[in-house]
Amino acid sequence: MDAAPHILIVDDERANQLILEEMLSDQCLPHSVNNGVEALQYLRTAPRVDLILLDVMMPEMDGFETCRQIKADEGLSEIPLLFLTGLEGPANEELGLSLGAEDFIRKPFSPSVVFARVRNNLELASARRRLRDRNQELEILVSERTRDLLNEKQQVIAVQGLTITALCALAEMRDNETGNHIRRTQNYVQVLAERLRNHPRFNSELNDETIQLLFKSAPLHDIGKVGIPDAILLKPGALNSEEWAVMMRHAEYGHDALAQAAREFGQPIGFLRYAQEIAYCHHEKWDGTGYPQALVGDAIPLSGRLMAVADVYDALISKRVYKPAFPHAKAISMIVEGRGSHFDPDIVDAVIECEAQFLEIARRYQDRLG
Amino acid sequence: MPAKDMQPSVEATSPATLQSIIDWPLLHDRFNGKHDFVRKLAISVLDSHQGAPAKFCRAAQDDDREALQFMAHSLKGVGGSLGSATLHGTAKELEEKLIAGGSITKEAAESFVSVVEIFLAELRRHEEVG
Repeated sequence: MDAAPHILIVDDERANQLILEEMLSDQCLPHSVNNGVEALQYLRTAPRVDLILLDVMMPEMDGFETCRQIKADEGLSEIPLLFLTGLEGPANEELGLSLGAEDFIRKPFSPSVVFARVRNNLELASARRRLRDRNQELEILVSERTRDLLNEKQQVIAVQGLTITALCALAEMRDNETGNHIRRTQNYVQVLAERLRNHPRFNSELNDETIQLLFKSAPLHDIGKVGIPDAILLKPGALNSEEWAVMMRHAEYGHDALAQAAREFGQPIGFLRYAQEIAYCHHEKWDGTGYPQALVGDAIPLSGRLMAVADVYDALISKRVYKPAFPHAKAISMIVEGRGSHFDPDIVDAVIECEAQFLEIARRYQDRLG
Repeated sequence: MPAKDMQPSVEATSPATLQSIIDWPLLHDRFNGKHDFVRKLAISVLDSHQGAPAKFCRAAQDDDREALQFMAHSLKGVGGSLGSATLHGTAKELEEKLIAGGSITKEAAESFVSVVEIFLAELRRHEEVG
């Protein structure tokens, strides 16, 4: 592409064409036509036009109509268009500019003024093209970076999932409880959180993101049991008081392990925060008789209160060496008994409202007999 | 009102009027002393507007206001481009009158035609002199 800009002169007066051609030919490549019809034909076939100088009063098609058609044509509309006319009065200038013309020059014109305005409009158009190109480049860059970030985020999410699965698998290997206990409890927690997300006491904390984090971190509630000796963890009979004291420390072990992981990562990770809370607080009780901190009421993190109900309900409907599996109704009745003492009253109410979903979860993830 | 019985009358123009209607020094100065280009310009205007007086007379006789306005506008531009304040001013006055809906008297039309003829005659003279 040659560097000299291509200028289309549209004027029915040959003298004006000659003057403009003479004036521009040092630095531009001028081409003249006699009216709007010829201009449109030329524009639609010429390989390149960088600027249009357009007279208004012409036979066949006047300049205003020509301008209207040029600016309505997507392929031509960005070419700078300067009216060059002997028409008097501000109304004509207003009309010309309102049709999309970049400039309006009156005849008789000073060659140096026309040349300066042609140069300015060429530079402006060039800057506009550069800006548009740069914007397109930036859009591509942003789109690529966004895709990379999404890929990275998906990888992080996948790694989180793998980490939780690995940790849970470790915990399961050392515990009598099954993998289905983990799946059931995380689903009970999710159902309860969804039920309570519009409750005035909980709506500031529960949203799509936090409910997802609760769902992902719930399986880690008993991760601290990895630190409990087999003799206690796998003991077939009831634990004595010393053994029970050791067993109770699993909440602290789980919290500490997850807290250390979070510290080493160096920045807050949502699901680790919830995992720590759940591991540490799921044995706290609403009336302050729980462990390890004996927290009371709302001092117990919501995640811990949700997990407490889910964990106890699942323990009640599951068979243990020291007890049979209770029917759902009995388990619910025992949960209701703990309303306001063991459990947050509003969460117990939610359990009652979600009974059908609890039953469905228990059915879907039931343990194999034997 | 149609300006009837009009005839172009270039023979009536005096040499002194011819020489004053185009500011040649200004024109040469505007185009950086390019005499050849100024000559080319003059020839081009002569070619394009040779028949302008007759055409204007016809349009005036027919009371073709649209044609009269178009010619006045065109000659106003030519006058401006070629450094003829007289042609530019007379044509502008006529164009404004036509736009405003005013009537063109026979005298006004003849006066305008006369200016155009003087202008063309001066271009011819300039071409002959070189």
